[in-house]
Amino acid sequence: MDSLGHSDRGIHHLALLRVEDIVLSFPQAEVLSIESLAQMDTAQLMPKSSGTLLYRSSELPVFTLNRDLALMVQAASGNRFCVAIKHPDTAQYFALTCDAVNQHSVEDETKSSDIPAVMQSPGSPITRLLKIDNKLVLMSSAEAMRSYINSTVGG
Amino acid sequence: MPDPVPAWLLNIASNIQLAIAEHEAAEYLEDPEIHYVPMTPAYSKNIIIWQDRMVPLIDLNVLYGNPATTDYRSVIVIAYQQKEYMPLQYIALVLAASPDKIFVSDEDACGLPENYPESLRPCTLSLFQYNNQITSVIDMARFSAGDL
Repeated sequence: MDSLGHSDRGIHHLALLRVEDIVLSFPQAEVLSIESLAQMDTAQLMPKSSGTLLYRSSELPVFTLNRDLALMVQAASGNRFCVAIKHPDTAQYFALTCDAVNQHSVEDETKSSDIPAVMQSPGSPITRLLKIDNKLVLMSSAEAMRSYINSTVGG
Repeated sequence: MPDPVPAWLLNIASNIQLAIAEHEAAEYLEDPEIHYVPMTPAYSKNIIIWQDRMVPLIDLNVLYGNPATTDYRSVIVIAYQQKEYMPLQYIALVLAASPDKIFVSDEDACGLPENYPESLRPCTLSLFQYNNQITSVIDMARFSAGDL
């Protein structure tokens, strides 16, 4: 495992979550399940969450992000899926809604880069930038995203 | 007196112009595809993918107090080095029009106007008058370091 996620002899497996016109990625190893949005219960477990997803016997808070990464209380009309994300702390497991989700394997990690210094902003859940077929992917991780959500909900 | 030196005049807006040395211009692009990066400063919310690199795209309008541009048809990619002998790095600026070749003399130099943007002062190398307008020469390495 490295900063790109699960590593299998230099191959990095990523889950790509499309939200409006942006694509977020998480290491595939951090994805617990992909469910239809219809599986979400709209009862809120946490402030600024959109609902609750049952994963095994646990209820996970579901969060909806827009293209600015602002938390939206209601799932957006384009959302089709809930992706359950595994955090190192089981109490911090959560789910995100998205419009589409697919897998991608990256062989050449040099195709990702740090966010340029002139663009950096404290507290962003985006850890690196990756280009796939001339498209931009915003890399994140369970820890970075949950930390961002917690700070947003707390604020 | 030294000979006038060639430079590229970059028109950012009707009230903003910059100049860069001839060798700093890497490529002028028309209508490049831009990619939005959320949670970034208002002057730098997009990147372009240029020659297989992800290059930050800067809208200087915001730093000058103008509304952010919505017109990304004219973009210039600028090469710079953080230090001598280090590899080239790149930054892109949104322009209002294509660059113009000009010649600049020492006698054109002028001082900082009072209303000059505070955030750009530390990375402004010099200023000169061109067509009765203040023209800035920016240290792109320092600008790119991000502590605006």
